[in-house]
Amino acid sequence: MRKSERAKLTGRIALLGVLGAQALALSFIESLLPPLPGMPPGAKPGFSNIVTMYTVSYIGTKQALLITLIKAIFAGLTRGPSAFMMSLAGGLLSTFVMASMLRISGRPNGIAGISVASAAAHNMGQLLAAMFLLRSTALVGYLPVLIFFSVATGLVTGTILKYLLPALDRQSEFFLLHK
Amino acid sequence: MALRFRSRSKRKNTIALIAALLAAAVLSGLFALDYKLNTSKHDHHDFVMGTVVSLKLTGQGGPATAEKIVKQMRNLEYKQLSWRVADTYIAKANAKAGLASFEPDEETLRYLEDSLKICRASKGALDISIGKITALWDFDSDEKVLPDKGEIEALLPFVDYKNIDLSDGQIFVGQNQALDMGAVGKGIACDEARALLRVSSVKSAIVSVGGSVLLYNTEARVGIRNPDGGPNDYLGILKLKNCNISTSGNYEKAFEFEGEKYHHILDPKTGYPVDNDLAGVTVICKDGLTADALSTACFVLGYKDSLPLLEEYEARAVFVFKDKSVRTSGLLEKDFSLTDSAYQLV
Amino acid sequence: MIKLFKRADFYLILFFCLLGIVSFVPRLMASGNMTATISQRGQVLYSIDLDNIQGSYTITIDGRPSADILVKKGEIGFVRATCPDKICVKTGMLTKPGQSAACLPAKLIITTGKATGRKAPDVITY
Repeated sequence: MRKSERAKLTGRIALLGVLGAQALALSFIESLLPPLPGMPPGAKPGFSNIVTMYTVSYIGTKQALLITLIKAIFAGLTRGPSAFMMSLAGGLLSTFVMASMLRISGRPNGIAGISVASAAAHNMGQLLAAMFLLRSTALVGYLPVLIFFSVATGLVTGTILKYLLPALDRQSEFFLLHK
Repeated sequence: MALRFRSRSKRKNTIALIAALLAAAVLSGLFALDYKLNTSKHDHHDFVMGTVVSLKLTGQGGPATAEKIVKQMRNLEYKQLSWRVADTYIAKANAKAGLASFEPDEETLRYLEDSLKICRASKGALDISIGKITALWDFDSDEKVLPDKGEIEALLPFVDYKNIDLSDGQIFVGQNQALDMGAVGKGIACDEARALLRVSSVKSAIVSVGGSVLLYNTEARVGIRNPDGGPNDYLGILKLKNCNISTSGNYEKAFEFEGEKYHHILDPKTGYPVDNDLAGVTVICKDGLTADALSTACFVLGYKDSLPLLEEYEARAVFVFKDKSVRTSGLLEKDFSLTDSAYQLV
Repeated sequence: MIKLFKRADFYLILFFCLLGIVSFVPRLMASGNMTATISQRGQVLYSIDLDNIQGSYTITIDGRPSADILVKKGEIGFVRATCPDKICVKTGMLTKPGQSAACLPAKLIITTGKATGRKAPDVITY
């Protein structure tokens, strides 16, 4: 392996590590928020989706899946097995939706649309996991509120991403193009 | 943006991805299994001591533990405590009343000792030597008739827990007395349940033996029965954790005879159902026997005289009065909330 | 540079809002999940989903004493029993989760299941 190639690889690994840490930090900050009234316990704005979305669109789907997995393991270690399942289910489904929407030819959706759809997917995934864990269909009752909640949080995270993009790009350049 | 980075070898990447997903699947499987084992719930409803036993168990081995608990409670009723069943230790000791002592097992002796302590502490408001009079009333029979006044008055002077002697591991019951563990039996059953739960894989449990409740390793919302309503009506909710709760009320096993209402908690001083300003008392403390004994004693004593007794046992209580006022003792505002607007917290 | 909003995003958000409204409809019609369990001597005899009952029917438990249990949409309770005290019948119909009705002589108990998110107590002391 040539020296420059090794440096490149190191840069990629470091960038992924930093993005992973940012996702973890955002989900940690979220976990400090009080439970939202009227929402099922655990419904969060999903700020770490900002990082996941950036990773899917500018780096790669596999790398985004890796970050999702790291997030789930972190949730599992800090909040227990059920948190792991919920996080993984939500993360995988939302990453899948993001990746699919970015691959539609002509890319009809902007950041806002993709963000809203992936927030919805994230919440649905968590709801499905909770229903499986509790063996209860009673949670379906949360579906309508969760959909409206997803639209709101999706718009917020999408907008934040739009304005964070230059900074995130500079961060990536730092790791990938640094001489 | 053109920052997408591609790995040197696509194949290696794919293998890594598959490995990661596989690991995730195995991990989630293990976690799910762990979760299922620790949160599987088992509900069991049964009938012991002439009342309903409800067990809500969370954790492993629920069904087997429920069976053990019910069996143990039956044992308690049919071998040790009931005065109605001929072969129990209590019945045998009663049969020898005034004549000889009887040697029971260690557990029965311990229950008697603990009960007698509260008889003493309550100065006879709880008196387990009232069995002869309880038998006259026979609240569990289908025919509701009043006992003969003369008979009650003849037996009343003999009701005195001080005449029960427990020295040398023997029970001696005084002349014309009989032991009645009815006031503490359900609480003892809760204590037995706790002992079995401790050696089981059950993580947490809510146990109810005829309204005497055990919260084992769990927090729960405990409704206090509304004395004016049916069995499912509650006037307020206690938010409690890891404790025993017992209630004595003027509605249990109550019957009406010639226009008068009679309930099953007898005043050891009169031989008749307690008649004061109370409709019910709920006591919260650390074990079932004490909770049961104190709720009966407090119901007999009334609000004011109960307070020192509750303090002595570090117990908390909710007093419900006939005029629909409610008083609490030792409870914080967040622990208890009234839900029935007909009642008033004072 | 990727745009924040495109025309398709408005349709997408509109779609989600409509989906949210539509998914509210079944809730307005249903009364919430309520299940009932009838057990005798510790054995579960019947588990019933009280939300999915068309009309009503009666379950007769034979024995001494015997009892009739009426099952309706969202309601269950003893309607007849040959026991002396009839406490079970006097308890009335169970209409909320977390309630119970028992017939001691027949060793029968009906309990209603607790739906999530309700404020009902877990247990009642009496």
